Amino acid sequence: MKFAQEVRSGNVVTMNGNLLLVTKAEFSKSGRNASVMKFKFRNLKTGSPSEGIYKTDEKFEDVQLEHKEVKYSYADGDNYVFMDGEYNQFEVSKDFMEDALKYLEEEMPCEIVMYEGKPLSIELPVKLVREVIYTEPAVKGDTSGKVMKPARLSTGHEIAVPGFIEIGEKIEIDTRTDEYVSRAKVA
Amino acid sequence: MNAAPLKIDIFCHVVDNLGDIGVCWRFCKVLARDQGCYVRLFVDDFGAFSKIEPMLDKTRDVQHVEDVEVFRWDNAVITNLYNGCGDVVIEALACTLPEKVEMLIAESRKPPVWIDLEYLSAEPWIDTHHAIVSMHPQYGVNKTLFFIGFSEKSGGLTREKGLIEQRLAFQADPAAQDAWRAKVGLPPRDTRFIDLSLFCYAVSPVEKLLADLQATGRPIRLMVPAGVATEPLTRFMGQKPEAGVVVQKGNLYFHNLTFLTQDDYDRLLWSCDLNFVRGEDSLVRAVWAGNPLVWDIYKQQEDAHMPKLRAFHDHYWGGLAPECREILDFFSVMWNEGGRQDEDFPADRLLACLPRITEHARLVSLKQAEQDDLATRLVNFVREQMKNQG
Repeated sequence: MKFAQEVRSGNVVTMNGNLLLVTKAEFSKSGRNASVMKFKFRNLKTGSPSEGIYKTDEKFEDVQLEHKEVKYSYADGDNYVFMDGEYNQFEVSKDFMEDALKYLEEEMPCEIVMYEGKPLSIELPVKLVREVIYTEPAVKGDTSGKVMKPARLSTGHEIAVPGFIEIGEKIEIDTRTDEYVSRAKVA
Repeated sequence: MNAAPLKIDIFCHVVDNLGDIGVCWRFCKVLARDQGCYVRLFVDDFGAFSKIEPMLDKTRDVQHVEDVEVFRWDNAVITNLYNGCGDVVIEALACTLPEKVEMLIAESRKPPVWIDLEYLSAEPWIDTHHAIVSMHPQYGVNKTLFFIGFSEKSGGLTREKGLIEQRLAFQADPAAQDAWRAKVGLPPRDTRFIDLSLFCYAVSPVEKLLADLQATGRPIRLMVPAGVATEPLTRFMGQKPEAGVVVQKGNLYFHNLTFLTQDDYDRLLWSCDLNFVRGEDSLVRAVWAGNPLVWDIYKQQEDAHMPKLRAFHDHYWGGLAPECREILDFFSVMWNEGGRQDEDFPADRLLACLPRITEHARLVSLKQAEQDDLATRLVNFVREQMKNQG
């Protein structure tokens, strides 16, 4: 069992006898409202899409599938090609990749999820480092981190970052919630 | 042919204060009166409930109050009396249904429409999360989060039929206003004064606000319902607030009121030039009052309430003259942050902006009232779901 907040894109859950692949998992929170997850699913048998909104403490029955460590290679039309350490290639359809596309970069390490011997989807690392390629200038004097602004990443995806982040900085992101975590530590 | 009345079960858990039961009770009354629904309300704190509904008999487990069948929500009542769900089961404002009710829903051959009614928000993400029918991960039946909100795409706000017309008539009738004022122990209208209502949380920087209002030198009458900010008021006035007793401190005149019913509190909001409101029920009533307001939002850890406050300002004060908007934003943040040591409330500038803020609030209130209310949207949604289920 997993709490909704732990269910991620690439996981498979069972509901009412159906196996559902999570293709998108979006976290939202508000003042007094419960934190919620918005999921997009794809039925593994019928291929039909569906969606649902759940409080983060709802429990889901997850299905353990085989995982392989791979790196992203290239896009081939509507498919994305990944390669393992033995140069085996695995193709995953765009329809099964929604969330992963936000952070996908060449040579990115990730895990491919296999179902009945076939590649199904990928799971992202929980934390990733990405470069900010555009954001409005830093807010002078604001070091609190409370004032947020949008920032475009090298993959084209936008997330909210604190006002003091500047273009060219590398930041750590929590891929479960799409939230800024910190400035990336310089190696 | 008219559809059969919907049977609606609403469960309300009183978290603290009177906000949760205030929201639920108004909603129940509108569902019953305006939508013709048969409503059963289950409340776990009759003590809190009886404060806002004097007709409630705290000694009885089951009773009819104002067209609603009210149940005490405890184990014995649920075990002995809850033997079947209505067409709709609503878990209101973050409460969790009793296990027996969940089992009845899960095992039903024709499950009710199961609604999780969420707190109010003006945040844009609400629009993409509202009313999405979602399969329950354990029971395989549908459950839907319904978000109270300001936009067309949200669940809307509770509003009784004819409320705005009633308010406009009251505000246009000086005799009716003075008669009501006399009834609750307030002096007649007097344009020499700015009338201000104060309803806030205990942590709000009341003394700082009062000092800064005093510094404006403008004659201000503060109408304070019983039990609000008693300690800071006592310190500032030099005596305990007492209903019916007027206390003057320089240009400030304190009118301490008894506990007001929901209807009387509405009239207070309709009567004042500026309303300080707290929580969600009084915010919505202040919106329908069409007068300037400052919102004391329910505080959350890690300042999680601040984006919600900003979203409300963006929605409600959008289009207001920038110089007035800036003052309102600043004033509101300071009020909700507990005041600032080194800065004063811009009380004089806020009062100077009041005519323009009033004009804006009147328009936005009327515009908001053009939308369907929460009960209408819920009933439409439920009927659609029932039609789809056959």
